[in-house]
Amino acid sequence: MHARKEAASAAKVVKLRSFQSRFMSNHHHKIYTKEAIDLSTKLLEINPRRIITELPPARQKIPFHEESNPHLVKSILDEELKVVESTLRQNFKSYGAWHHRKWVLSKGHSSVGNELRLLDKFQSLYSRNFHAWNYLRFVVELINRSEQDELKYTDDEMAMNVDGGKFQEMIKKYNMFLDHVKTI
Amino acid sequence: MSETAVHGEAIEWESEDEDSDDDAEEEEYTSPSQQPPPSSANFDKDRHLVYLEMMYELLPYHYQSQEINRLTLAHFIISGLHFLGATDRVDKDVVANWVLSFQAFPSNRASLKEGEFYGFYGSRSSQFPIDENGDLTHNNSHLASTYCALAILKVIGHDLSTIDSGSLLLSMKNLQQDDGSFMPIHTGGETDLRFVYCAAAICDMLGDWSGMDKEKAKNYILNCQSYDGGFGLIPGSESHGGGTYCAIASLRLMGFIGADLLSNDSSGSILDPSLLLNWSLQRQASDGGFQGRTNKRSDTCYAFWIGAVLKLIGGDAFIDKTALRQFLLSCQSKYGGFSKFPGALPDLYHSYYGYTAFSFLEEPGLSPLCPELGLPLLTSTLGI
Repeated sequence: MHARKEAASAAKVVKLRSFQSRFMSNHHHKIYTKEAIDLSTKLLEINPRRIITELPPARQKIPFHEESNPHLVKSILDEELKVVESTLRQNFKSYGAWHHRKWVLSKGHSSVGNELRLLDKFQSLYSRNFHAWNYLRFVVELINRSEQDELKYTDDEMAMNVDGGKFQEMIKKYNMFLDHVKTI
Repeated sequence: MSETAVHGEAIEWESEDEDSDDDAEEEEYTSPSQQPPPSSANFDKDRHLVYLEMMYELLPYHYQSQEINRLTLAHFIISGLHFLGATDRVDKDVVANWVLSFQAFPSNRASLKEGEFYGFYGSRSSQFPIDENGDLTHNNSHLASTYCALAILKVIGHDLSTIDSGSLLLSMKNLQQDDGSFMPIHTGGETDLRFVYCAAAICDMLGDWSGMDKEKAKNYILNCQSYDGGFGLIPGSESHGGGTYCAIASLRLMGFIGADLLSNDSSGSILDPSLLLNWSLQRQASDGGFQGRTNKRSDTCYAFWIGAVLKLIGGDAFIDKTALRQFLLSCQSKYGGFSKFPGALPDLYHSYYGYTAFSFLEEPGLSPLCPELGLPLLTSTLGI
């Protein structure tokens, strides 16, 4: 029984080492194919803590600017958000995960409505999550800036209007709060 | 501070964190069958020694996911042993060589690559081999790991002036942002007070402030002060025990505030200490422990993070030390070490900050505390 457990452990180690050396090789040779990205996703699933070290930078080096197809870029970034979300489910306090999410959002291809819905879920799980509160401020900033700069986030009006405009109301109140705090 | 912590997360803190960690697990803890054990009457030094020695030999498998913060865990163990007066239990040369093996170097001074930081890695798993040109292909050296590396070397009495710190300090400036904050790693990452603190502690330990712009760092820190007197980890965020520690310890290390902050006329000071004092003291709860934020559960580690703040500003006389001691003893594990909450299992991070807290409380038999470095108080090891 004990020997079987040890053998299973040893097999896991061999597999992890093989993933890791392939990942290193891809990163070194600047290989960013779907296969390479899936490999780093696998590594993240095995150990979500790696999100604080080399995985986000590796993914952030993906040459998006070279990609002329906006749908492809959006789908890659949506995939990033899914990976980050699953990491956050395991540990919603991960600084690295929230930071990577900010990076994705700042590319300008993602839905802020989705972010607000996600935040709503996290806040209902644990209302004292300061990472989520800080991320909310970041998202609201993006929305405020987009209103000023007429950027793409305003395309999200449909998403913002779900639940009878609940998010718009929340953002209005939040901006009022920010203004009030400045006067204290 | 995570971990992390500062270290991890400290680094993360921490690590960190590992570092100054947030404490959300209270929801998991509340089980009606779990009665907190009766408090032991004393700080059980022998049991803590057994715990640390065991960890030094072999980390339980539960720590696997923290492999990237191995240096941080080593710092908790070795610096912990120093607090307990037991560094003779480790082979100092072996430890020094091991820590130094994590240092990153540019292939030559001229090739100090644009924007990279040459510090220490957190673990072998982040350390990639050098390429055919002698360059580091992936330089993942990290500010929090660098703090931990220097802390360990200082604690075992290694002469820090023998370290090749030239590229370290020169390149550390690459991590500082325009707003004065620091990134932990040159490839990118969140910027917050934890890494400002790591940078300041590194400069202090090496006795060389060329690695950071102190004025900019000071401004960032002051921008992190919240309306209630505490400091959040980033401007505009909620006051937090770990953030407040990083703020005050950094200001102290950089020389912007002195030990006399409270007693002096505050008009010449860069911050109003009374609101800070008020916030900090209010973090001591009715169970005697300290909470990290308003209305959170008391947690062992905040006895250090906030206790040290109060010590640094000269307000620690107002702490109910008897009650604090009682709370900490209720977090002391029968296996040695300390847990976050009464009745939980111990972990290295809470154990280390339990030892620092008892040192702050001047527990007999423990090394005295250097509150601004979060380390045992040591004589300078700069060859002076």
